[in-house]
Amino acid sequence: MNSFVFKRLLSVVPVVLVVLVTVFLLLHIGPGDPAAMIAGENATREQIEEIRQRLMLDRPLLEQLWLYLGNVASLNFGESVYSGFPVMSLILQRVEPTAILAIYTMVLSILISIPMGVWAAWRAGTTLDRALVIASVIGFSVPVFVIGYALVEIFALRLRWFPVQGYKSLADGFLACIRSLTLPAITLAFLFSALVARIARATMLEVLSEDYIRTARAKGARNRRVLIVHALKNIGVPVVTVIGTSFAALLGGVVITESVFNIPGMGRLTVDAILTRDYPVVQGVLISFSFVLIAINLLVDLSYALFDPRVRQ
Amino acid sequence: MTQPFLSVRNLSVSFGANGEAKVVNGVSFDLEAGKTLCLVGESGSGKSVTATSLMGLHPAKTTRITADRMELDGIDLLSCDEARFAELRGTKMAMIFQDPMSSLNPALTIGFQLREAVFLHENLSRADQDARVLEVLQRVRIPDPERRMTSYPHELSGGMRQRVMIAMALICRPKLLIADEPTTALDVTVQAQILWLLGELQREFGTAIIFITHDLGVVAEIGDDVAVMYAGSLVEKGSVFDIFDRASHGYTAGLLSATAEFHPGQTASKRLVEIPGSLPQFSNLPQGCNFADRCAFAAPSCLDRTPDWREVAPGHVTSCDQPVGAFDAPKKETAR
Ligand SMILES: Nc1ncnc2c1ncn2[C@@H]1O[C@H](COP(=O)(O)OP(=O)(O)OP(=O)(O)O)[C@@H](O)[C@H]1O
Ligand SMILES: [Mg+2]
Repeated sequence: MNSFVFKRLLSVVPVVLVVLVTVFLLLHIGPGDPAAMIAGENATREQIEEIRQRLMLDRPLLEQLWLYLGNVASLNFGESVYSGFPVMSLILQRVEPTAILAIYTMVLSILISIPMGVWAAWRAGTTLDRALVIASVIGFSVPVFVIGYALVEIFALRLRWFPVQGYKSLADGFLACIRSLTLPAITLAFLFSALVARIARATMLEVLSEDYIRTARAKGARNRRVLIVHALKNIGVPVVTVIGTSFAALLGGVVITESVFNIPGMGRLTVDAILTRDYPVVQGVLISFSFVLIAINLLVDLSYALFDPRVRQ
Repeated sequence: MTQPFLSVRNLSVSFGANGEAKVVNGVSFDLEAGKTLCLVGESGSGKSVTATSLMGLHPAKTTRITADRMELDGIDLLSCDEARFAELRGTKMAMIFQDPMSSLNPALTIGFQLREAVFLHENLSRADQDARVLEVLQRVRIPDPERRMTSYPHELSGGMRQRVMIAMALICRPKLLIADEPTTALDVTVQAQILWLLGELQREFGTAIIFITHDLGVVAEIGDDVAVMYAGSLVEKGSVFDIFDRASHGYTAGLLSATAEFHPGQTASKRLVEIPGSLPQFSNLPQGCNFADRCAFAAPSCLDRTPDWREVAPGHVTSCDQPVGAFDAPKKETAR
């Protein structure tokens, strides 16, 4: 068990290194002079030279990489070229809404999709099952912004249950915060739960036809018990896998949703940084997102041991 | 005359929303408490489907089960709903399935799966449940049972898993045990141990056993009665002596001579293939006797006329129009 955890943890190290080196090289592999790119079109020679000095772009590449890795290790991502603020503090300012939105979406999706998928599998072939399958296709294929604007139209503009846009931070109270993120979370949950429900249904169907399900019934276990005690644990691995792998898609969706609902989160920070060619910020954001994804994947891997005893050795 | 312990009359099972595939067709048999009925026949003849019907384990939506009678220990199984069946399963009747490798839940410990079989039916403390599980694991000769209780199925060999399946089936002392080819997947020594174990438990608890097998050697060893199944119907029924010494149906005779010629090391299914031809399609059963086109003894009339049941000796019946000792079935040493 411990060696299993240790091996997984160890396997993260090369991935982290590859991410860091790639993000570092981003600035250097493109055509043209990085200092000039950062400085923008109207910069004078002196300005460009000053940036080159400040960002140490005149040193040899390996030395720069070494410095960069050292900085990242001490959580120093440099300063924004545009505003001069440390990248780390910019990220910390923006991380709250994004993190809460992602978690909120995740919880909502799991609460909707797993019962839905399991139920559909249990009632496979009925009208209800077919309706759920169609709903998941729709949830999966309608673009995020279309769902977002539709929800705003109905629940914010007509019914006035939720604010049209904007974000209330946790400091303004938990309920206010949750209320301001509810429509964005539902918007994203459409996509996410459609995906998870589909996998849950498919694997549940497979599991329900397994011999050990028949064994459980032959012992005298009732339907609900068979479903919850004998089947649910066996769909854990594929379902958690799809939750983990689609987390990247969720982060992509967060970026779009944040602009639809005007939420000052990481997504907006990213878009703004790209538009202003604020390379240190782009790098910092990329590294943060990558680390989150790596951590999620690690958790997914570790959770296999929870569901499948065969993995534990 | 008193009712037999298990009595099945004219059981038919078909699958598909409209009952398109009629897989079992008019099967009837009786079984007394403490006795063993062997159900034999080649692969696909409907043995497992027949047994699974008794347990009520077919999916209700896609299965149509009809019978004139299906009674177990005075309980009318035909009128049982899923909830009633759930009460009966485990206590009145239990089943050991064909494939021990896939029949245990990979995500749950052996101990949990066995304990569940107890607490589903009996109101015992956790300690008493554990004691029962330990006792039954010892019974089926699982070495180091305390440790095994915390094992997962993948940590056990096939023979061990089949013992666990047997333990699970027997833990609530069912009156009827259905064993569906419980030893086919195992090697010969393990097979012998498991047969011996079943016999021992049967003598002690008076369990009635329906034993499904391909292997006539096993039948000779453990059977009291034998029912031979072909293409969804029974073709011959009698005591193990009737069947081995006085087989009266062409199919039974074919099975016996195929068995007589087998060489050690051949698999059971291989032996049965030695009857030329193959099972007819269920959707397209021939006119007349189902077996006529493969029968070494068929007369022209066999192709047109559906044979009647005949009693060739008391308790020995056959659905063949040319029975008597017409068949020179190879003599088989019966071990009793
Ligand atoms: N759920 C089902 N739906 C449709 N057809 C089925 C179903 N279960 C079994 N059958 C068919 O019924 C026939 C008899 O199957 P069954 O499993 O009873 O055979 P068997 O005699 O047990 O064979 P084996 O010795 O290989 O186990 C087969 O042709 C099989 O394809
Ligand atoms: Mg079978």
